[in-house]
Amino acid sequence: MRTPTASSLPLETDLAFQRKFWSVERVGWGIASLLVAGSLAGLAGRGWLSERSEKRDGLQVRYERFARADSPTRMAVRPAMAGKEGPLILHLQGDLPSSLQVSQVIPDPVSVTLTSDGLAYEFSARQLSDSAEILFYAQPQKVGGTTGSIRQDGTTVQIRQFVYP
Amino acid sequence: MDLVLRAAFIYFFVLLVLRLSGKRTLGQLGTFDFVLLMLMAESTDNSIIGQDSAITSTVVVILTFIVLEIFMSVLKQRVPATDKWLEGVPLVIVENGKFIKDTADKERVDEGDVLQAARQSHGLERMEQIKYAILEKTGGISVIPK
Repeated sequence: MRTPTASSLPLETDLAFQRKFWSVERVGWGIASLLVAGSLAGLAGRGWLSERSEKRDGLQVRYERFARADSPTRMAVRPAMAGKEGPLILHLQGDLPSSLQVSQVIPDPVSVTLTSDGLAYEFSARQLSDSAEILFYAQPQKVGGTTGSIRQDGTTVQIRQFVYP
Repeated sequence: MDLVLRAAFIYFFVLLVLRLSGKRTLGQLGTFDFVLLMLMAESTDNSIIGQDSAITSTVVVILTFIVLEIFMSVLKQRVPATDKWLEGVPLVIVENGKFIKDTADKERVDEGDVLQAARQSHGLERMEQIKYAILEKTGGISVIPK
């Protein structure tokens, strides 16, 4: 195949380079498509790839494995209620108190206390029915991997989240 | 510090994405391309400056873009190889009335685009009247009549 060169024109064309570039272009499209597909599935937060549920001894936490900095994320905690009377205290430990800026908790806690190992949210058993979920609406402040845990009495559930910038 | 990093990242990212989307994306501002540019501008807004309404932030971001722009143009001039990668090269898509389908397809240009350019620039009617049609680096099509 004769390469057209428009030889009567002083044209700075370079078909050899262009062919190389077209290959790079195609690879670029492939990567971009994969990223879009991944994000659609939740790789960048809020999707089925991102949903996580951890359960231990009646304490269950649903949260997002992937989140974005300064972007709202939600954590749903179902505490162990079996035979529970009196105050219910949830401890947010590890990276959670510093990395999550909690903007709202539903229902409103009776008190929020700073303890030696994190934040303690106190609720009264009257606020919660048997299958109630406590919702924490927060915005991650720290970029990168964060590890923390949620503790109710002696039961601890690990939370691992990756926050994109 | 993070303002400069965010601005620089977005600058290079948009440059990369537009470069990889092909010449025609910027060549003629058709409806598709116009919408694309508007939407891109809107979506980058908040992620560069965020909730910040201080004048300093806007000043820093704009200065970062300008400095990067100057840096890139000096780079293109001093290192000619980078010019090819950053801007591309012109491509012949019609030679002596013959449409070079191979090249044109790869750049997603069809005969209609060439004929449109021919009509707009020289009032030409048919492909046979074209000596050369060049897809320029900018994405526009230059037509040289016979």
